[in-house]
Amino acid sequence: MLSPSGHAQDTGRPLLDGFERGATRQLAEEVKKKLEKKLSARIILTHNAGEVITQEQKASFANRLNIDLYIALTIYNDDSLAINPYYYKNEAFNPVVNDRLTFYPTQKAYLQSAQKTAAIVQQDIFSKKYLTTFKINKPVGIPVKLLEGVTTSAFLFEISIKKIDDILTYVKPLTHAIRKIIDVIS
Amino acid sequence: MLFHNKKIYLIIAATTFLVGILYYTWREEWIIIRHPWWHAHQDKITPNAYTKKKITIYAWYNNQWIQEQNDAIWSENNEAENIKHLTQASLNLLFEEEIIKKKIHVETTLNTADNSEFIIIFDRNPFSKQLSIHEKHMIIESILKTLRTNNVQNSKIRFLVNHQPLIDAHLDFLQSWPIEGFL
Repeated sequence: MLSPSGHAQDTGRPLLDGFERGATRQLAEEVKKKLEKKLSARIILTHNAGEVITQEQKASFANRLNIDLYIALTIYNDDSLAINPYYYKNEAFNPVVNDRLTFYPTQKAYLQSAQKTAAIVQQDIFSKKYLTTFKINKPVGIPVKLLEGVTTSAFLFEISIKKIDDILTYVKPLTHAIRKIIDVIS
Repeated sequence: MLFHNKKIYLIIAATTFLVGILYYTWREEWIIIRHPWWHAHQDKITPNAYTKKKITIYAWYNNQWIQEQNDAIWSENNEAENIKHLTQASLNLLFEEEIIKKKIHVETTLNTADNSEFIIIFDRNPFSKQLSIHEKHMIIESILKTLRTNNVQNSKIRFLVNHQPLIDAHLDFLQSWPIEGFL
């Protein structure tokens, strides 16, 4: 499942030429197209362009569909091109997962896939060949709202662009990274 | 007899008048009565335990940690006051380096009743809408690193703005952040 930022009532960050809402939707649709060509997987977007949706609704949608992977996308303006991957974590140390725990508050939902997520984080998700074009940071676990409530492995890719056309340069590395994650979890 | 009674009445009236005036001046704190024993007792309760201390402040700038040494008035028994100084010093450095665009003040710092976490209250949201998650995260990590380095004991920090939760589009501040940070 791909989650572009913003919705009908939230434009997201203002970019030099446009808003984050439109830019992330364009990126998500391009990545979806490319992934559907390469994989025999069904790729779903969390919402349509005119919809209003909260993070709780996105998480609920993802959990009910029992998806394999959740990817959120955000974009900001900067002087350089960079990819910052994040996963959800809200404790400083590795949490102890209680198998008998049947009720999870939203902020603990990530515990259900913490081991799988840890296995993915150990890998180099992004190929080194992209390092000449982009600055690629290591995945960081933080309490990031855009992944809250999702029980399956979930990642947020925050990318920086100089101009709106830069979006297209990210399609290939993101598609490769998502395919690599799918290889690890399957 | 009548004359004698009048004299007694006069003495009683003058005495009560004087006592009244003394009581009034004491109530209004025009005169202050300090017993040596009480004075010593008060000194025991609130010792004047401030010292001058060198503190180290950190900020994430140009993909690296920068640090600055400052002098601070350090309280030996009021950790909330120390945390306020450290956080404000950290915010000042972040503002001077133009990492945050607005001048932010720490309104109050409080310890929770069970001493499990510290609450830091800003006068306004330190994050502008354009900031990336990475930049916002590193602003918080700068404050946490400053607190850690200067031996703040509490393990969890909660951030508020004007006594309300700090609302951000990307990072969740409805829960407390561990002082170790997430790096």
